Amino acid sequence: MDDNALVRCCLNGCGWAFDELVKRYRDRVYGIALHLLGDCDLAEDLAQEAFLRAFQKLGLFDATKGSFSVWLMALTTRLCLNALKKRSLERRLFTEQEDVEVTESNDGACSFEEWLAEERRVLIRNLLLTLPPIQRAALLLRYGEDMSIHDIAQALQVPVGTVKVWLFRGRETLRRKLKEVGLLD
Amino acid sequence: MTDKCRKLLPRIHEWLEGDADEETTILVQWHLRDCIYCQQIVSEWQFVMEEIRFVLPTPPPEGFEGRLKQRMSKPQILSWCELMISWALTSAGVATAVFWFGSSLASVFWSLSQWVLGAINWSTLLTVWLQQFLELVNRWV
Repeated sequence: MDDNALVRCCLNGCGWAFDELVKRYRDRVYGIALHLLGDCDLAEDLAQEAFLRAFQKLGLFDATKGSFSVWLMALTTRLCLNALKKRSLERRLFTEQEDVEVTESNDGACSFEEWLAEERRVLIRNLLLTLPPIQRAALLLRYGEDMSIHDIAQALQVPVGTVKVWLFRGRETLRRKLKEVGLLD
Repeated sequence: MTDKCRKLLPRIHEWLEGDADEETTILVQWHLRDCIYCQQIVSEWQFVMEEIRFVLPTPPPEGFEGRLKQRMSKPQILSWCELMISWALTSAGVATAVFWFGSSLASVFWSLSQWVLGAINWSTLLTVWLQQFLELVNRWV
């Protein structure tokens, strides 16, 4: 069953349809929140808030204007950016994030490859967190979510050209940082 | 890195985004054929894109869905903004009602008093009061 059918089902009062949508998108919504906020608890809170808002505003979703995933990711990103603005979390990120990531990467026994992949994941996550939030949001939506530049511009309420500049700068900065830490030859 | 490379970098980015026109595409592809430096930049940018795709999906903590369901079943707490708006609307409604009701009530009393005052025959009333007073004086005397 595709997303639009599930949305229709949900609007007709089927509770399981929304559960299915949550199951499909929880990793991506939580991922966006975590990479934008850098705080596990806040990310969970915001991810839940995003699903809650999506459920309340499901009637406003117009399938002719774009896919459900784009709509949901745009909603999540806006929520996270507003939360960042409100709480001015940026300074906290750098001090708390490392501790969080270390505990995440150490739990459970795993193979060397898995450990290496997890370490790489943590490193990239931390490098992403050094970018300005809006650049980070553009990068995550474009390369993580495969959203079009036009959709990102609509989601972040900025001109298309601005998104292109953010993407160019963000990718270039990240490339340099990856090179500095030795992940790129 | 040559000046030509530096000038071409935004166009290479555009091309990599799949957003380049025909002229830019030809220009970039022609340049990439010979320039090792730009070839490397392109592969590094692609690496960055893949890494972001790789790190993004993150499973939420255990019990996420349960907590979400709990939250969805709870009555919604109004935000400050919503609370202020609802308060303002309620106060405006009450004020309007009081003003309307008050003015109507005042006009009712006003017309009633006018009607009462108009209906009284003052000379008869004075005569009656005078007679009663004289009776009282007579009894007392």
